[in-house]
Amino acid sequence: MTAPVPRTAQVAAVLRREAAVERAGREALVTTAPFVAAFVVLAGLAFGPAPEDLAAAAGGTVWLALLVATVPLARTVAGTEIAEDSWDLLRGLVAPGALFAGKLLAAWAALLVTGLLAGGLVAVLFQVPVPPQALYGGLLGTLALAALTTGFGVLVASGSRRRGLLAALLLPAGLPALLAGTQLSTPGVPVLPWAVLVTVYAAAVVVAAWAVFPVLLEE
Amino acid sequence: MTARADRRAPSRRALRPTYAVAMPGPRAIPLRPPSPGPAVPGGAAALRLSGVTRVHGGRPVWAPVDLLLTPGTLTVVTGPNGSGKSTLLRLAAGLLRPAAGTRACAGTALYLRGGAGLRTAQTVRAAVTGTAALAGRAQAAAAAMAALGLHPLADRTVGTLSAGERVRAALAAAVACRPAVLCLDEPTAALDERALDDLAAVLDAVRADGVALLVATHQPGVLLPLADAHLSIADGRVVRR
Amino acid sequence: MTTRSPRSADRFLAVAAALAALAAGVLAVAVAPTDAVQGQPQRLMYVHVPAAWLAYLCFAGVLVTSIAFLVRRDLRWDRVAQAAAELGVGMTALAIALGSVWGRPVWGVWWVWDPRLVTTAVLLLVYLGYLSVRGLGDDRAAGARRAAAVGIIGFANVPVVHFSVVWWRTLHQPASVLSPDPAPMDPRMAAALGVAVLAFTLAGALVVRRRLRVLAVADTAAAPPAEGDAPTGVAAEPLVVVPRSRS
Repeated sequence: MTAPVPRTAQVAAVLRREAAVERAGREALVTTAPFVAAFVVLAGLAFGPAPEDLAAAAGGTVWLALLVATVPLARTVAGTEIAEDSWDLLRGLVAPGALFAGKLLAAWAALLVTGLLAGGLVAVLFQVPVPPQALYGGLLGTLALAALTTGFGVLVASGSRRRGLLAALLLPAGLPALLAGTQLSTPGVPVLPWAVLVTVYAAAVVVAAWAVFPVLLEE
Repeated sequence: MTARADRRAPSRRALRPTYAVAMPGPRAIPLRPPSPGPAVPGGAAALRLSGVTRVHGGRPVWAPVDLLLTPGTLTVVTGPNGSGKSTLLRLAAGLLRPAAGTRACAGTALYLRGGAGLRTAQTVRAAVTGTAALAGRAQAAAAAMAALGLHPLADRTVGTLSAGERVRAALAAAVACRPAVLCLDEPTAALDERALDDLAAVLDAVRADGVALLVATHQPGVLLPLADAHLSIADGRVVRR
Repeated sequence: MTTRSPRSADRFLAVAAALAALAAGVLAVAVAPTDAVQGQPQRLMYVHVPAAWLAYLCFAGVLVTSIAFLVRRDLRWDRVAQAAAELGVGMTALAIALGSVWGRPVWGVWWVWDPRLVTTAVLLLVYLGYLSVRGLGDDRAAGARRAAAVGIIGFANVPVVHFSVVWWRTLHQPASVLSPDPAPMDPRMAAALGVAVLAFTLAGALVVRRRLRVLAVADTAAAPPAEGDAPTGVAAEPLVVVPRSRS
């Protein structure tokens, strides 16, 4: 239906638009960064101050912060677009697959930044080392969470009520990312099974969200 | 499809600034566009709705509609609140799935509600360019902004624009995308008389560029003299007036 | 003609379910031996396991009917999905509650972080979300589409959730010694369990069928057949807009 714009060019255009809107309004950053910073500091107070307790809670703190941050972040996928009446123009111009990919990549980038912030804060404040496999877990785990955020963000935003449902939908569905991410951030835990699990999980969630996304766009 | 090929040929050109509406400043004087090219009755259709309707609350919003818009036309839609004007426009734009019937469009169809459509945090330039880029036409953004007299506002944030300016900014973004069909839902709301006249001139120019315009309004006065057709929705029927 | 056969099928299901339940009750209480390790509380298994079985069956049904709805766009499939999800949520809650009651005397705790328990609890949360999504908007079809999407994403997630919790347990410590069903099972226990599963399945089918009729009536009431002054028929004339000749 849309003009013959190559799909990758359209994905790149959506992503550039997301970046420009974020640069202009800083919505995702303001939504997640202070939240994650407060979460980590409060988690330190809740689980500390014994260094061994903090070390045991470090990975879980990062991933719980990330998982919970998806809830406010999901609003940037479609909620704000609908509130500003720009969603219709976007839907008219961009093919569903490209819109999904662009929004997914934007959410992934936002979650990666959030994860880096949370991970960095925890590493410093909790004084724990970061095992290399934690980076793989972070990369794939945030991709899976971004797919869930994109799918459920559109699903809940297009309904007029019950915005609070996002948490009920996102948090249980993100359980594997929480577990695999936490285990991969914990030194001494076998790496391969968790690396496989987070890979399979990310693939399953991205495919499922991509498959249902056009249906969610329909009105 | 051939309809697309026919329509696309002139579309490669950037928006011609010949009919620029000088804005702001003294009263904008639209230059008459060149004649709208060869009329194509029964030829290429920009939009074809065949027996479409939409069900709301278990009832059809209006009786099935057969509507054919050819390129370069302006159709005004009027009707009381709740008569289904927005539904017709959103359906024409492909945002709503018809409950019955089929819809065919020879290109992109866009829908704008009032002056909305752009992200309020962005500057006019960034928003218009970013939107045009989605259609692969970022290079057309500057001409569209010029055509709508937006250059003086280019670095303003969309959220700080007046109602009339917002309508023009949103229109510039849509026009830059070179849609086959452009559905405008109440673009006249919140506009003063002067802005209404300017809007009419702009729409005339957009139409002359080959876009099929479908405009729903409660203030058709200024648009009707320009319109190629006036559709009215009343008692669950879409009729021509 | 359409009212008699569903009713008689219902009657058949009701009688069959009642007979199976009676037989299961007798087998579970009188015939099956008391568990050597767990004692009488183990008899809760004859309700707990069938409830969990029925819940999983329902959720699989939600997946299949969600896909069928998205392919066919027929609200009948959506009604089946809703009825199955409602029963599934009820059965999941029942299975968790009974498991808790069973675990307390046997394990000494109300809850253990056993993969099956955690997966079942997550399932309960996912399908509670699924049911909530139905009320999101005012449009019946849109609610059905959103629910179908959640039904698909939710179920796609289940195996990964289960494996992640299994590994979460086993990679940290030896496999759970709290496994509630020691093998091999006494044949009389297996028979009681089998008949109880049959009874639950029959009763579940009956509940879903009856719920489907209620939902169908609600859909019909929400969408009255167009008549009277309702706009129907075809448009009087095709509306063709061509450029008007201008001076």
